[in-house]
Amino acid sequence: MIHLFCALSCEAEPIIQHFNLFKIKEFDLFRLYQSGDKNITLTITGVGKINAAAAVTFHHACLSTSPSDIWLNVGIAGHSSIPIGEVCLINKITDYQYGTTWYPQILFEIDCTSAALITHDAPSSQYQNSLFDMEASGFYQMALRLGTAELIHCLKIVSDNQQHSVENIKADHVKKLITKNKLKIVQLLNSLKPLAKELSRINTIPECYQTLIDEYHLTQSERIQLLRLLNQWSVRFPNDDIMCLVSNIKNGKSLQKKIKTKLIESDFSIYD
Amino acid sequence: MINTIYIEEEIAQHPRTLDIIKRFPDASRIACRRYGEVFNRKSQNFRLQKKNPALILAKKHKNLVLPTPKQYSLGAEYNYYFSHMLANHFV
Repeated sequence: MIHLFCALSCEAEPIIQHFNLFKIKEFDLFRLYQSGDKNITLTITGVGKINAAAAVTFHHACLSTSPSDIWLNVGIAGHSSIPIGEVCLINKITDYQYGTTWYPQILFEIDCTSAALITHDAPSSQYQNSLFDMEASGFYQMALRLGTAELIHCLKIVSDNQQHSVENIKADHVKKLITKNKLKIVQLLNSLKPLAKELSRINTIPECYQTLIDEYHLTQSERIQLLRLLNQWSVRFPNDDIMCLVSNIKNGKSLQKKIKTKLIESDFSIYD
Repeated sequence: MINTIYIEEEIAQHPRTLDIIKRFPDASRIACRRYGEVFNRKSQNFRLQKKNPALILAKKHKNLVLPTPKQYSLGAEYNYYFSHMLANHFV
């Protein structure tokens, strides 16, 4: 699943239209939107890091999330010199009030600038060499408790700089900036999807596990050991069906012994 | 190929740091206070991280070598060892 978070309606509208999201009426503390196939969700958090953190928690409580989900904060930010309209993927988030820092892990190539960001408590026109916004630290801090670091990101579009101050920002202008860059958002999500898929595969219990525990009498401890062995098997022999190996086994102890022996006797290298 | 290099602020201008980052001109450089802010943080996934490992340039502050337990000594009066586990790229 993909969870998107925007502070303002004008930031969210182009995304809602692009992904054809509809409002979920039963939740009214924050505005929640969802796609028809329920794979993409969006929450409008309101301005500020406390609102952002609360919205992430609410989103998690209302919609069931998993560690292999993608979390993305999309919004506008200011910078001293980056031109207006440029898209930046955040590689460092600093909370101005507490000085705490987080480093979103960028494990993929993407066609946009990567930059550091400072989250302030109020709008500021003292432009610096870092981007600044008002939500990212709250969003990231809370999402980190619910998701996996590599799948949590902030994408910011520069809306104001020293030449064009924050006072001149209008909703229509923000909408245009997001609309113009919605393909970059899609591109980022497409880069994250294979990682999410990989993580989902890692966390999935192998299909044969249920078959084997139904077939053989195993203690709780033996079941845990079996799951560990099956996970090792899926890494070492991703294309081999384990059921062929254990087809003539009589009891649980022999089952584990057979898998262990095969794993130990096979050559293994950590290099490709 | 290394795409990201995290550099501790304290050693950002160290000659060895400058020498290493020269070898990765296209990598994005991110300043950090201590490597612990980046490395082995909660919620990180080891297997995903291995897909595109980053380089961390950090300073080792103490315990460069550790006293060897008596039973593992080589027979000299003072015996020490060090571990490569975290020190592959320490400056």
